Amino acid sequence: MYILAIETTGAFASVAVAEALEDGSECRILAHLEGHDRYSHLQNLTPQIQLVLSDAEITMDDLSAIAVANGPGSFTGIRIGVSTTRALSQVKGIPCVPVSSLEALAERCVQVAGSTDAPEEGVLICPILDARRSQVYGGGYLLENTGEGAVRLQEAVKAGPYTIDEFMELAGEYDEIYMLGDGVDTCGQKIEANRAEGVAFAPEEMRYQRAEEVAMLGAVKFAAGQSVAYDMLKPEYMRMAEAERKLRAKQAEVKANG
Amino acid sequence: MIDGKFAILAIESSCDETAAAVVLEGRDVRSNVISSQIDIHKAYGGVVPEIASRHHLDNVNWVCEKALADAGASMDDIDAIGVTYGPGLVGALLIGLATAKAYALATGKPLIGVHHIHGHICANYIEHKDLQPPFMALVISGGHTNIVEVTDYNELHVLGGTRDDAAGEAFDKVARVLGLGYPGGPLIDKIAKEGNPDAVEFKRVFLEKGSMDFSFSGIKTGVLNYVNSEKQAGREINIADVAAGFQQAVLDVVVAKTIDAALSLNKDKIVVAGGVAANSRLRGMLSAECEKHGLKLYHPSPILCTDNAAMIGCAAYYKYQAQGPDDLTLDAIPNLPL
Amino acid sequence: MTRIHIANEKDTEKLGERIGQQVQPGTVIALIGDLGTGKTTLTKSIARGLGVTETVTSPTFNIIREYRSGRLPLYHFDVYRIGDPDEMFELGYEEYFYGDGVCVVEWADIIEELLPEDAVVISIDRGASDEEREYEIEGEEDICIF
Repeated sequence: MYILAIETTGAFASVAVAEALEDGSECRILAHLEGHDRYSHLQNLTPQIQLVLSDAEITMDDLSAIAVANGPGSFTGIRIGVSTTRALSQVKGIPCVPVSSLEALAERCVQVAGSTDAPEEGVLICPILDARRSQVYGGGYLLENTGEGAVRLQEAVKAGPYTIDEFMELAGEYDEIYMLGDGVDTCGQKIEANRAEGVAFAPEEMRYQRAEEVAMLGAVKFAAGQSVAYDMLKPEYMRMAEAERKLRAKQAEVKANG
Repeated sequence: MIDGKFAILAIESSCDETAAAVVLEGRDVRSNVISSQIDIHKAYGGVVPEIASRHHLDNVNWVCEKALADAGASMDDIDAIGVTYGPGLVGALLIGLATAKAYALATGKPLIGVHHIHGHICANYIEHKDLQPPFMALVISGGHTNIVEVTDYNELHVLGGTRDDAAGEAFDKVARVLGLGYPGGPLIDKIAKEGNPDAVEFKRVFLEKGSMDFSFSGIKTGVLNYVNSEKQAGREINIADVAAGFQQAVLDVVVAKTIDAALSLNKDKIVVAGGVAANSRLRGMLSAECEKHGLKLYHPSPILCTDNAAMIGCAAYYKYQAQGPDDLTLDAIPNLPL
Repeated sequence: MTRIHIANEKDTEKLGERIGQQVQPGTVIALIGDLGTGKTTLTKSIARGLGVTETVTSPTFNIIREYRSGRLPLYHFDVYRIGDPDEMFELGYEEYFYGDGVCVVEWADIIEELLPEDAVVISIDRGASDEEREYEIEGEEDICIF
C-alpha cells in the first residue's frame, strides 16, 4: 500500500511517499522532499505534494491513506497541513491518519536504532518543540525491543505543553536524556543550566521534523485501524490553556453578575 | 461543465464568513452557501457543523460540499476552482486557499485566485445580466470604502479610499453611541427615516480639493462630542435627528465624490457594492443624482452585498478568461492591492 | 507608571512617532480607551515613527491589519468585535504577540488576560476639553521614550 505523508509543524514543510505491506510492515520511503524557505508552507505544500507523487511514480488514486502531522508545533503550519489533507481526502475519499509531530520526531531514534547515532536503551528520548515564552510541547519516549529484533517507542512522559522547568523535572527521573526538536535551539541554554550531566542534543541533521517518520508511523497506524474521515481530522495544537481559562472564568463571572 | 457551461466552484474565507458557491460562466449562480446563514438546527449529512464566526477550518469542507449538492453537481462537473487570496486576515485566507489548492491538485482542474474587492464589484454582474464595464464603482462596507474606476472586467484602478475609518464602521460605532444595538448600519438607516437631517449639523469632511479619499473618524468624533456635551448639559438628545444628521453628513460626501469621479472620468454608469450598498438613503441620493446627470445606477441585492463566494466565482471567471489560471504556488496576501 | 497630558492631536502624533522610533521587536502595545479617544490616531503616529509608508486605517472590521513597509513589521489589532478567547486563538494571536514585530492592540481591555506580561499598556481618557487627553502608560521602560 502507498502512504502520502505531510509534515508542516516546523519551519520547513516536507512530504514523503512510503510503500508498505498491508499490515504496515516493511515500510520504505519511495520519495521525499523538504522545503528550503522558512514558513512558506502555504505557498509550497501543494506543489511539493504534486512533485513527490510524481517522484514516487504513483498517482493520488494509488494512495491508501494520507498521514499528516497534525501538531503540536507551528499554529499556521498545522492549519495548512490539516486543511490540505482534509481537502485531498474529501475529494479522493482517502482516509486520513493523524500523527503526533512529537512521536514522529522520537521515531527517528527508532529508525537509526543500532547505529552509533542512536541513543541507547534506557535513555529517555525527549522531542521538544518551542512554544514561546520558555515553554515547550514535549514528550518522553523509551526504546523498547519488540522481541523480533525490532525496536519501537513507548511513551514514558505524557506529551503535552510544559514550561521548560516542568519538563526537565519530569525528565529528571532519567539518568540519560536525548533531546530533539527546535526546543533544543530555543531552550538549550536553560536546559544546560538546569542539568549539567546526562543530556545529549541530537545533531542538527537529526533534530527537526520531517515527513519520512510521519509516513512510517502513518503506515503502522493505518494498518492498526487508526485512520479517520476528513471531517474528523482535527488539529492538535496542545494549547497552553491558562490564559484562556482565566479569561473564560472572568467572562463567566461578568455574566453571572451582569 | 454544467448544462454545457463553464462551472467554477468558488471559495471565500477572507474574514468572518466561510462561503462557497457554484457559478456558471460568471453570472449564473447555481448555489451560494454562506456559513453564518445556515439555520443551526439544520444538520447537514448527519453532522452538525460549527456555525461560528471565522471557524473556517471546521466549515470549509461542508460548505463546499453543500455548494456542490445545492447545485446538483459533483466535483467532476467543476471546471475550475476560484478562491479569494487577499486582502483579508491571513489566518482566515489560508484555510480557503489551502483547501482550494488541494482541490485543484486532486481534480487536476485550474486554480484561480481572486481579489476580495474585485469580487464585491463583480456581484453586480450577477445581479444585472446586461451590465458590462466600463463604469465607476463605489465599494462601501464595514471594512472598505473605495472609489474604483473599472475600465474592463480585469482592469480596475483604485481612485480613493478611506484614510481612517470605513463608512460602515462609522455607522456601527455611532449606532453604539446612540444605544441602537447591532448591526448598527441598518438600524441607523431605519431610525434616520424618522429624523430631521438638518436638526443637528455635523461637519462634512471632503479633505483636500480633488481628493477621492474619505475620512470618517472626524464625523464619528463629532457625534460623540455632541452626545457628551448634551448629556453634560442635562439635555435629552433626539436619537432619530442625530442619526439622520450623521447619516447625511457621511452620505453627502460619499455621493458627491462618487458622482464627481464618474463625471470627471466620463463614466455613464455607477455601480455600488459592499454592505452599505443596502442603505436606503444612499440609494435614494445616488438615484436622484444619477437621474440629474443622466447616469445609470446599479447595486446588488442584499445577499450579494455581504461577503459571499458567488461574487468570487464571477470574478474568477472573468480573470480566467483574460489571464488563465494561477500557479499552485499561489500565496495568501493580507494587503493585496487591487 | 507614567502620566502624560495631551493638549491636542499634535501632542498625540509626537508621542506616537517617538514610540515608533524607539520600539523594539516583540513589543505588544495595548491601547485602552473609549470610542473617539484617539487610539487609531496614536497608532497611525506609531506607524509613522516606524517608517511605515502605507496608509494605516482602522482595523475594526478586519481585526488585524499587517504593515511591512517600516523598520519592523507592524500588526495593528482591533479586538472590538472579538467575543471570546477562542476567536483570538483561531486568529493565531500567539504567533503575532510572541513574534518579532510590533503589535498595537486597540480595545485591549477586552482581551486583557491574553496580553503578554511585559505588554506596554496605554490607557487613554478624555481631558477637560474635547481636544485634550490624559494618558497613563505602564511598562514604559520597554518603549524607552523618556
